[in-house]
Amino acid sequence: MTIINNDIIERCRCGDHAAFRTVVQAYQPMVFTLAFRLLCDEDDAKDMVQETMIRVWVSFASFNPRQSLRNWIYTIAIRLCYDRLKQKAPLETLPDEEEFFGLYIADNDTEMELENHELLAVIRTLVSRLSPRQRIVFTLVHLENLGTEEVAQITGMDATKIKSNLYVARKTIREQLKQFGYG
Amino acid sequence: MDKMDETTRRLAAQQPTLSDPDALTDSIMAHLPMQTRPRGQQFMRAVRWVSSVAAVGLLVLFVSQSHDLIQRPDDVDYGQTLHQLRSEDTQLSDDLPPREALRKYVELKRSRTNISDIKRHFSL
Repeated sequence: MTIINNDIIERCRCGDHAAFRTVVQAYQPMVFTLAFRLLCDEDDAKDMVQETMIRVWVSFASFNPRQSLRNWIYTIAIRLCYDRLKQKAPLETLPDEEEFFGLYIADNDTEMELENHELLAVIRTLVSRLSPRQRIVFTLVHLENLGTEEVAQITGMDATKIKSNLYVARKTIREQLKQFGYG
Repeated sequence: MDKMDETTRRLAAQQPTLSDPDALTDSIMAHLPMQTRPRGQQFMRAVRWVSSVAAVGLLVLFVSQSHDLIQRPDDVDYGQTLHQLRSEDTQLSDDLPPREALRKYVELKRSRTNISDIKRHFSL
């Protein structure tokens, strides 16, 4: 990943398109992965990358350079994804997705590479019963591997709220796995 | 490690593939609107702009006034004024240059004014 130094940030704050292209290229995979995991839809995830990056560009002047650029972009992406999740209908998994999920968790091959649609089937089945807030906390902690402090900074939730959402999310997922024979 | 942790760990290691990232970048760059500045910055910019205009205005005023002050002595008709002064005061000799005579006259006038003020004050 390209290192975004202070010079690039300062140029972006002054409206330099070339500098911003570097930022987009550096962070669009991160935003795409996050949106893909949260929204469980490839096209929605691409739209979200576009929406997030445009929001980043528009509000770059208000970005504090002492802050982490990565976390600031995460924050913008999370807020936009949360709004989208609230608007979207609850996830409904298809029978063939559940079937694939069953095969995936039964397989112990940790090196198995999944296609996007296969990955979606697994994530959709896993998080389908979670509320938008639980899904965000679960995704940030378990799939994006962020610490509680970072999640608090990005989501604006306090540690207690994060822990309670995570507890419920894990409990719900365990119940989901029980249905597939893994208690 | 239980099944949930194992599954999430495997999923975390699996990244979705972004097809044609360059096209997505180009699309983002093509849709960039104007950047907005926060209200605080806009206010500070306005303050700076008004201050600059006021400073330039004051500078112009100062320079024009200084110019007037510098120009004014040249407007004085030294010949006529000196003639008048010399006729009023015998201490101004004719061989003094005009500017020196004028300075001398001002000094004399000041000292006389001071003495007359003192006399008036003490009712002498």
